[in-house]
Amino acid sequence: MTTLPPQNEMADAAQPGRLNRWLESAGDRLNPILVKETRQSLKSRQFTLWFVLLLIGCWVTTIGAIAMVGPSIYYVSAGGYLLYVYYVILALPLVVVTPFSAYRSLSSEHEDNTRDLLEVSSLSPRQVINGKLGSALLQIVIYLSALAPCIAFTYLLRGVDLTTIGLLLAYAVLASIGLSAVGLVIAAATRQKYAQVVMSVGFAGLLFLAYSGLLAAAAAVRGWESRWLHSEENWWLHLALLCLYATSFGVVYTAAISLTTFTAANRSTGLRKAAFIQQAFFVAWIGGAVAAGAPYDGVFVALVVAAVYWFAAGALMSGEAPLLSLRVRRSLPTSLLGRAVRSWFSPGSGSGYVFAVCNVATLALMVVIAVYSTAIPGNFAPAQTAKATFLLVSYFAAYLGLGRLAVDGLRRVTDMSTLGGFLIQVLFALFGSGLPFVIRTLSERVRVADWLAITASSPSWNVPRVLNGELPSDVEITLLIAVGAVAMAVFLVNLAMAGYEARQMRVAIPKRVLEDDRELQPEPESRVTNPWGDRPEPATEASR
Amino acid sequence: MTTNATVTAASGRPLRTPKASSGPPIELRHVHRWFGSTHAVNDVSFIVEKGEVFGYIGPNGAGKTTSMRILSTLDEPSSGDASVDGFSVIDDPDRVRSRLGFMPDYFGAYQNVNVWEYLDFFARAYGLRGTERRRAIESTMDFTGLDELARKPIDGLSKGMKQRLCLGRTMIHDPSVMVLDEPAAGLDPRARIELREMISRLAEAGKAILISSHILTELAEICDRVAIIERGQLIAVGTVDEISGCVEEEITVRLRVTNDRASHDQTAVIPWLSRHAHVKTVVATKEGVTFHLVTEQPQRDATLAGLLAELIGAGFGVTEFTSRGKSLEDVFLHVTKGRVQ
Ligand SMILES: Nc1ncnc2c1ncn2[C@@H]1O[C@H](COP(=O)(O)OP(=O)(O)O)[C@@H](O)[C@H]1O
Ligand SMILES: [Mg+2]
Repeated sequence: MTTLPPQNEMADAAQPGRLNRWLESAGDRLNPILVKETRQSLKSRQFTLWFVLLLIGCWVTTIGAIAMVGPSIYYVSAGGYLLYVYYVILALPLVVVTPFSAYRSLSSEHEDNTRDLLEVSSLSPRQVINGKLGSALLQIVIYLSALAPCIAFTYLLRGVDLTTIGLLLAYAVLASIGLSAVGLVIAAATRQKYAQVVMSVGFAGLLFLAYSGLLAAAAAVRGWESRWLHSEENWWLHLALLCLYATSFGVVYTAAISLTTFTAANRSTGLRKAAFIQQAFFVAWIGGAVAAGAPYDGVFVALVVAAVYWFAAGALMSGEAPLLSLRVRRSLPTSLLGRAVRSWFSPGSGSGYVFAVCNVATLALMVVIAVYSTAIPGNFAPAQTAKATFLLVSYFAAYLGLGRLAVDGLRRVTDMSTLGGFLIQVLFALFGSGLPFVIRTLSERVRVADWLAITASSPSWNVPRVLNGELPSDVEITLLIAVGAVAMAVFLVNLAMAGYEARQMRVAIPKRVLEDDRELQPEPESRVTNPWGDRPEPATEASR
Repeated sequence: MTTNATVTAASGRPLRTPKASSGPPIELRHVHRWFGSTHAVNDVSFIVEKGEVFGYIGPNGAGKTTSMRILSTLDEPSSGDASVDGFSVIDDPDRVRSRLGFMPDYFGAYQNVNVWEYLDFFARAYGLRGTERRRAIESTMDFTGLDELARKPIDGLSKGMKQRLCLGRTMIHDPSVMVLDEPAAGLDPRARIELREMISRLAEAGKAILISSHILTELAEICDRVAIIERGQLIAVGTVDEISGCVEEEITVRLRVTNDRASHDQTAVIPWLSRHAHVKTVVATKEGVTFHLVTEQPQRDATLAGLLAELIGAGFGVTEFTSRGKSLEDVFLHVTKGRVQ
């Protein structure tokens, strides 16, 4: 790090060398949090301890391995096994220590009350999160480079190829960064003391789970045949996984930023966009799979996954405040097209609901088109799939909408957190969905299946039955009409309320703010205007 | 120690000169803040001008911190608005933040960081670059007298030094408005005097300073104006003299008259006192009777002497007769007493 010497040396260094100047301006551009955390961790005992432990572990392993294998080192290929041992050692600091220290570093900002100091500074939430992730990344690099000689050693021992090594290291690094980002979200979301205690225990548990999961995955990769490892399917699989990882990381990263953002600012547009992008990739992959000849039934399963995803997202979004702050309203779209498209990305619980329903409905439409347009037969009749799709979307709109209305109503009576709203929505849907199953378990005598009044509320009961065509046709029609009608009504009520949000017009930016913008961003420096490359005299301080 | 001119140039750029169109450095307009059913801030409005030190006085739990946090964009008003240099804390928090230095009533330490690194971090956090940053750190350390301690870990600093470091952190980006929450709390008298001196110099450099305390005397000398807040409500705003003016003519007198059956006689003196023209609010206490004497400043001593003579003349055995002019504490107690319930 560029630990600049304080004032005394600067006075005489009036004309620093080019390198110095370069180092300085590079140091200036570094994220302040990154600079600070690096300075801190260089002095911290915890980091030194882990680093030394890692080195000791490696040396012991290496010496032990050489001693055990002995002179036969020239004949046996012990590389694979040794690599695994190194991996077990390396993954601990990467997957457990680094994410946990990222989590700790943000949550200790809450505990030591420095969070407020960061918040009143000019640091943006994005810079804070980037700084924390950056310092996690730096730790990863340090741990990796400490182990690099050992890894090279395993390659020399034979028995393991570069692809495997690369894959394993990539898993560990990605897991480490991803879990660090998750840790930041958890730290940003929990501000109360007791919640922090619970969360740090829970997060540590999660990290150890991830650690064992990663080791299991590594063991599996080590067991792969070379044929599979280098096959095309394997690359597709990994590309899909990478895509899933990248888009999920985008969502988690945006969530961390949103959670550290000032409450009156726009905290949701970024998150909605991230979720939307993830969905777009999901659709592309499913589409690709269908085009490549996968059975179309998979499409319906994908729709169910998407519906669950959007239900969770929708339940979170309906926790947003219906009134927009002036600051947010200044950035609302003004054009008709802009309003039609971008309003649903603007914060607000009503717009969140409409956004979620629109997404699921669009996906459903794609499912129906896919089902009718592919020639490859699946297990279910296209008509049944279409009906089940309609039913699923209706349930989705109805549950999310009713839940939102309930949360909205409760909000008027008491204060409720976003998490509270989310839990109410989820419990409500689970209750309605599980009702027939519960009744069936409780009483043998009630023939639940005959009672539409009992089963009608349950998507998990009805959707599979419609899909398989198990319901009598009159029951099926009644069900479709009833659920569809409820969904329509709920949707319209919510839409009307969302309309109120959308009618909150953009407000003009005050003159004072515009003036300040101009002051902060002076006229762009005039470009070269003639072929000789002269520039007009720059305005001097005095003449301004 | 530097002169004020250096303070102004703390970060190597001239102090922001507010434009004519911009609002006052600090303005609160009908700010309310509810925490559940607690009305922590109740309709607070005031303005602080450039170069002014504004004292914000009130007992613990009065709502000082809450309103200061609102002004510093760390909290939002339930209704009303506050602005810094004409920028609303709700709508333009970023602009407010770049103009404002907030010093909370806690330290906010980082582990494994020394004084210079601590200031360097905040200078970076406020977007200061290169030479500008070095100059800002240098002059801040100079101003707060921390230059000898540059390499000292901040955990090892004394309370007074920590407070200086906090002040340094608050002024590092040369804000035009400074909000200091109970900066003098827990300081020894010497450190307190030094702090007052630094604050005065900052004000002379043109900064608007809002400073809170639960002790009026702590601030009386440096504040141009004070506001007294209790239970979330402002109950007086003005210069210390103006506020003292409300109780100008009052002198508190403690009186004890002797007798075997002390309590009996104390009660006997009360009706007598109550009938007296200059006497107000007679209260029986454990140790005797306390009352206020209302009189013009010039006749104060004469009136007192006259009253004592009358008391003795009326046959009361006076064993104690102490008079006390208004102290700032009295002003504070007087102003806060009984107004808000
Ligand atoms: N975050 C909060 N949640 C609930 N009540 C609060 C919160 N912050 C402050 N209060 C309450 O608001 C009132 C004013 O507190 P505060 O502004 O800290 O007073 P002061 O700084 O004048 O001592 C107190 O009654 C306090 O209990
Ligand atoms: Mg306080």
